Amino acid sequence: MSPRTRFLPALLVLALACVTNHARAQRYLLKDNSVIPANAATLRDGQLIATANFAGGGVFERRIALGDIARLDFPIPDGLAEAEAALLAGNHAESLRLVTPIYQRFAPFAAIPGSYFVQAARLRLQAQMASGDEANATATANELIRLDLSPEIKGIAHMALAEIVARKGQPDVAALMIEEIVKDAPPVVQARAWLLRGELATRRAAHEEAAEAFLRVQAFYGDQESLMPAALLGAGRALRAYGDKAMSERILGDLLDNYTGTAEAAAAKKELGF
Amino acid sequence: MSYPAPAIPRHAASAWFSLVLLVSLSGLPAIPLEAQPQISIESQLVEIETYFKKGQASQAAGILDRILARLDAGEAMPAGLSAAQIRLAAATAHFQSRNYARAAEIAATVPNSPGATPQIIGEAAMIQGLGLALEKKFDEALPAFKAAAAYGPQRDRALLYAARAAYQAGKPDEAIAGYNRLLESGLRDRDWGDAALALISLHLERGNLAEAKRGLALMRGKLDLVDNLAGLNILYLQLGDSLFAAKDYDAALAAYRTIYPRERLLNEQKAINAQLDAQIARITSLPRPSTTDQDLLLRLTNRREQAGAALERITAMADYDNIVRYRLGLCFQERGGTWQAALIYEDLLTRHPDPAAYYNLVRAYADAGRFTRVRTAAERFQKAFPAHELVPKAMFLAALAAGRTRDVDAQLRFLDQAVEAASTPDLRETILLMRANALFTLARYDDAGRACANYLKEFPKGRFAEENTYLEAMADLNLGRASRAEEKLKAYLAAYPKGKFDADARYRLATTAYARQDYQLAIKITINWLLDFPTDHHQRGEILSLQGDAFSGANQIDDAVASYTAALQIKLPDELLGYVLDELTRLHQTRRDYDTAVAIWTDFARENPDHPYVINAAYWIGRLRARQGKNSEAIDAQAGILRRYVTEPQFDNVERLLIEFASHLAQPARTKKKEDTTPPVSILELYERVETLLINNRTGKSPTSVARVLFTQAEIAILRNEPDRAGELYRRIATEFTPDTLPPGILGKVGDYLFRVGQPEAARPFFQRIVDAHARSVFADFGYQGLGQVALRAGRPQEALDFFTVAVDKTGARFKLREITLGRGYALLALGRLDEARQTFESVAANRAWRGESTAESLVALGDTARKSSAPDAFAKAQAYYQRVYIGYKRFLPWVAAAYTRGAESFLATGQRDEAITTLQRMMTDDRLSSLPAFAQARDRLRELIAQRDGGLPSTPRFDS
Repeated sequence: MSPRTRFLPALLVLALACVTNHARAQRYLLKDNSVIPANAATLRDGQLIATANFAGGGVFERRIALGDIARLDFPIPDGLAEAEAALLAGNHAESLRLVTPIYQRFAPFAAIPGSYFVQAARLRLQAQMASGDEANATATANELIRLDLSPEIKGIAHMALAEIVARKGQPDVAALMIEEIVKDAPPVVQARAWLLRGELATRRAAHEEAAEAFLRVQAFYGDQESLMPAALLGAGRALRAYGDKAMSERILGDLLDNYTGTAEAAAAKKELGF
Repeated sequence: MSYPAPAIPRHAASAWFSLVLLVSLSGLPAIPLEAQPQISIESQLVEIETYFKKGQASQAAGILDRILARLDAGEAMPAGLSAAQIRLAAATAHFQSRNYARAAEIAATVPNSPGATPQIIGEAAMIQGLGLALEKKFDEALPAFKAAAAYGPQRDRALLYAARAAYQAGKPDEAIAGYNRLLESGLRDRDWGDAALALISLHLERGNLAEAKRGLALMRGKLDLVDNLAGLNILYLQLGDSLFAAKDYDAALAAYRTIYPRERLLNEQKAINAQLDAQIARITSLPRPSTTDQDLLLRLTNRREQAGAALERITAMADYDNIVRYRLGLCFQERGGTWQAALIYEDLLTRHPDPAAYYNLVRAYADAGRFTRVRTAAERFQKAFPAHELVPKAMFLAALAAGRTRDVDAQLRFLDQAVEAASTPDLRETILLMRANALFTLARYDDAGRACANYLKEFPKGRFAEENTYLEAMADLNLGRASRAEEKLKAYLAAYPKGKFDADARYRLATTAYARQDYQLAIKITINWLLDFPTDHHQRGEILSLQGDAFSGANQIDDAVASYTAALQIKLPDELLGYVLDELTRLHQTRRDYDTAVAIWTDFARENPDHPYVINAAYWIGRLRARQGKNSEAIDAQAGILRRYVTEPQFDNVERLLIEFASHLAQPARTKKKEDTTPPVSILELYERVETLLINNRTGKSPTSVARVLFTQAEIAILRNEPDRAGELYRRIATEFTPDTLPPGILGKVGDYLFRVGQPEAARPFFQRIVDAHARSVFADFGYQGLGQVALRAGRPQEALDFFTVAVDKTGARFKLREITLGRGYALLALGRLDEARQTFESVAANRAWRGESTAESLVALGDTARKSSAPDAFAKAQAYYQRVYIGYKRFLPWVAAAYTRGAESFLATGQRDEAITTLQRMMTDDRLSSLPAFAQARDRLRELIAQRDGGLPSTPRFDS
């Protein structure tokens, strides 16, 4: 075998390695199957402007409509995971600080597969709601509804609006909104609806009803991990107010054991007197 | 399990092309075959390549065999080509010709061939392994795959095939190790997904639940790598069941939760199957599929078959979702999530009424202590499946729940239903015993006795024969059939000499002996009892107390004193303690040994400073000293005890003692007949004395102690019949102290005062403080009752009723039962619940302990209740009630006035104006009523009515509405 072919497999491996590394680079995959490296393109006037080299030398600009982008091939943005962790830990301001640039960056590509806009928007909305910034949360929610990206994110946005209505002292209106939102809604929206129902019942001091609403999240939507800390904390408090101290402690214990580091676990720790 | 044909080894393939190139470049002339005694290997290689291109691997294999024979005969290889390469190519050709045995045989010789590089060895090992596996020689294939995994980029597939071979060879541990290696380090693709499924299945088969759980965790978030989604879901179901059986409920829950709903699963699997079908069709349609394509086709086909079979299985399970949901409920229930379990069962029952789900729902509510729901769930179950075998068990649980809420009537009802349908002897026995107990608790001793007798008839040697025997005797005892009870108790003791109730039965025999005044027998029984049972027996105190009674009855006072004193050395229940103390005091008093009696109470107060009977101690000390003519000593002794606690707001018994203390101060001291009677001490002097006695340097002037001083002074004012002074003092307390500084007794009195003087909203915070901070106080009923009255006054009868109900249920209504009962009646009346209102007022009227003003008030209320009824004789009945008041309860002027005026109105409502006028005229003759506001109103009304009668004037609105 010639030296060239002997080393071919090794070269192939190296080539594969290079391709692997380049797979984590940022790329726009167009509908015509061409690929634009992100570092060779900028967004301007609602279009993607890609620079390319002429074969004989020189550079030209290629204008690409956003609608011609089939998919974004981007790694998970730095800060997204940290933003989620900060939100879970109760650091809403920090979460907002981390997620807002990601939200803004992917906003033009909101509906394109591979975009991280939906994840960023969801986190941003949650952070705004958690920090009580209802004005901005309303704006974010309305924007998400307008974009109509998926039943899930649209439902989450509607639920946020319902929650704002409840916070403004219109629980009956909020309840009616919830009933409409959950019709044919995906599980994540239904789970959020039960969370909000639990909160509304808590405000009415209907503790048994509140406990059942919160516990429904655990019973029927166990895969909605991000909602579980709030559900368990709400249930624990409602059960204690109802008078079932043993069950309350069991639920709060579940929260402490399984969701350490969350703001809800910290609250549970305090309430259990640890 | 199928094994795919290997791809042509890349190395071997490149060898072909380089050979061709070499041949071309070498410039060797072509030599006709027939002119040669043997074709050159180079020429044969060209021929081989041609056959490969035509897809005629078997032809190529034949030529390669001949080349191998020539190599073995010692012929040299052409330059640039190694024996290893030739052998590898031969093995590949035979494999593609499906001559697996020969392929494996040749591949086995590659490692020892000259020119065998690691990559060639790896590829040869792969062919060897596959060949052997396809020959079902899995044991031999396994090392070949392991060798292949050590080399080259086919590592992942080699690991996968090694694991499969190990499993087929009956080496599950090696298979598991192989899958684990692949899963840890392999590329995350669909083969990885297959491996993960296989691993979980393997662990499940072998009962390695911990490892199966690990596999479960590994799959989370990677379901997109699984084509056989239906198979995975079935696996999770099986895993969940195994974990449940092993009591690992958390992990079982995690497994069940991963299962998709049926509709979603069917839709997604069908979509995946369609994709697989499309891929398979694409490859099948290729004119000359490469070996890589063939490899992929075999794997896809295998996957498609498995996914199709799993999909069919789930399609056939129409109640798949309910099966999973039910398991979720059981998991929650077993791990203590009873609320969640109940939610799941309720949801399940809306779609699929199922007896097991009903029963578990009842059980979930029972375990959660949600007793009202237990009962309704049990009733629903019985209604839906009246004849089901689980119904009696559900009724039994409902009966237990009713017992927990102290609703013994309901308990009995459920037990009656349960016993009707109890299907197993065990359950029936339990229910019968429980029923007998429930009847006993309801004081239906006759029925309880009969129930026990019936049990013993049906189960003479039953599990609860002893209990029923004993309970039957106790039923007779409670019915007052002492001699029958004695016989049965003796029979019990004979039948169960060391029985569970031995001690109690002998105690009861002693009580029956005492009851018929056979004191010596009672004494004898108690002496034997004390000898036979240990000193720490819980009934020892009762025995000693009874012994004291028997000695006392037999006039053996010294012995009685000794027995009671011995009883005091034991921790007695409060009721018995109080009795023993009282009896000792009585006995000492009969001997005029007041000092010893005082000493008993003084010692008690010192040794039990927090005991509620400290009040009793103060009471008795005061009384005994007063008997001795030592009133000031009595007051000083009580003050001494009071000073210990006067600054402690949480010690609410202080108020009870202060009331006693006030009575000693307010009443003149007893004097001997021959002494001059001194004038009574003035109230202001008494006020000063209170302050001096209760406040000292140690107590200081804390808000609580000052408030208590004012409270005591108010009590003195009441005792001295000076209500205005009392009112002034309550007003001071209300304005100078915030509710959070006041003890509950004072809060209650101040609240009552403010309410009485028409300031319900000012009273509310005082009542509310009792409820918020002193819900367990002896004065707690002041709070609930007060809030109920405030709500009633404000026109919120339901809220009032709730407060009155809680006052009874939670506090026992020690002081305010009368007010609470009346309040309940008014609330029920306002809510239009007339029958209940009537029953409530009747209970007040019939209560001899409340005979007096409350009777008058309740009769007026009964009249008001009757008036609201739509019965034809409503007004007549009302009239009768009113008349009873102004005829029979003349002392109670406000109610007399109310009875007159309402009686008049009831006459008017039935068109009997003359009778109304007569009634009011009669009222006018009672001068005692003249100072009441109602009197003036009645007079005006009378004038109007007379004017109407005489002058035909229109009627004016009622004045008492």
